[in-house]
Amino acid sequence: MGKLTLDNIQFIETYLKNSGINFVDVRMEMTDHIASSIETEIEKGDHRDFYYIFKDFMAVNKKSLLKSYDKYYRLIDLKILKRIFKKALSLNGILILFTCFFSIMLLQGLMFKEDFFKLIKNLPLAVFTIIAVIYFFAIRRKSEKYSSLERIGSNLMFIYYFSYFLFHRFDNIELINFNVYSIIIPSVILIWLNVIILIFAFEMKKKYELMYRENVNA
Amino acid sequence: MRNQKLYKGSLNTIILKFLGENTKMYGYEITQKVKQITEGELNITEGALYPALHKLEADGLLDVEVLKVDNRLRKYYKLTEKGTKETVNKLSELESYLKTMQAFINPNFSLE
Repeated sequence: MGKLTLDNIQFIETYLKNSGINFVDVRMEMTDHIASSIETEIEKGDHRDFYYIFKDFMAVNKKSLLKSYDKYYRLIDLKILKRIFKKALSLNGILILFTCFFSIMLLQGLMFKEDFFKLIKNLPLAVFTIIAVIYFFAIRRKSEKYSSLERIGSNLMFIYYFSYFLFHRFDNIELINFNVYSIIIPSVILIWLNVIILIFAFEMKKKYELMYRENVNA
Repeated sequence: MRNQKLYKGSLNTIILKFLGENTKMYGYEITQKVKQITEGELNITEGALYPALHKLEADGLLDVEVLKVDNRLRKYYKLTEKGTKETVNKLSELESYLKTMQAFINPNFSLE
């Protein structure tokens, strides 16, 4: 049977990587598709060298493959948002929300108003910074870019900009005198979302490791 | 090759139907199965198949499993519980659509 060798598979992978298919999970699926097509051609009786069959296949199908990759970008963001939303509204998600809220309310009761104002104004960005450090150093892999893990970063950036613009308004302590919840509620929501995204990122990392890395090493 | 656009709206139903009949399938296998059943009439390109599979996965209708096969990793798709229910709905919708279209084309013809 005309099964491709490990060298052939690696050649396809490298070709796709050089063509801009950066996500490991997407590249893996495309590699399998191309390899299966070439194997079918060999089984049908094409006795030419692998490289000639590969070249002919790519000449016809490269545009279509790259088109599917472009569409994947939009889909992966949608998929991530749906899962984060689902996680946020799960029992654990709601528990995290209440924990964030009551912790901040407790701090408010324990601290002087001015100190609490300073804290609450900077807390979402501080939490974001900690989570971003964990994401970049413990979750994301620079050498192996998995689609969901990479795109989670864009969600984190959105929260960062939102936190920055929202809390930049709160320069005047009179605001907190006017209505303390106007700063507590957005703060709690942003911290909650940060924590949910971090938990989701860890889960995705574990899933990818189970799905891909263990299979690669098998 | 006939007008591929006519089939485009039914791609998700075709995928769900195949996965309903098989425990799990991978992308290339689906394209070959479609080609075989339609005797080459319908050719699903990678540009149409994979976005459709990924969308169905994002919607929670498909689950994935990765296995090592012939020196490479292969991503298999299978129906979730929600996907199984959706397959029944989609097939029923398609059947109803075909009946309606048939009524337009040949009012005396009946599928029953």
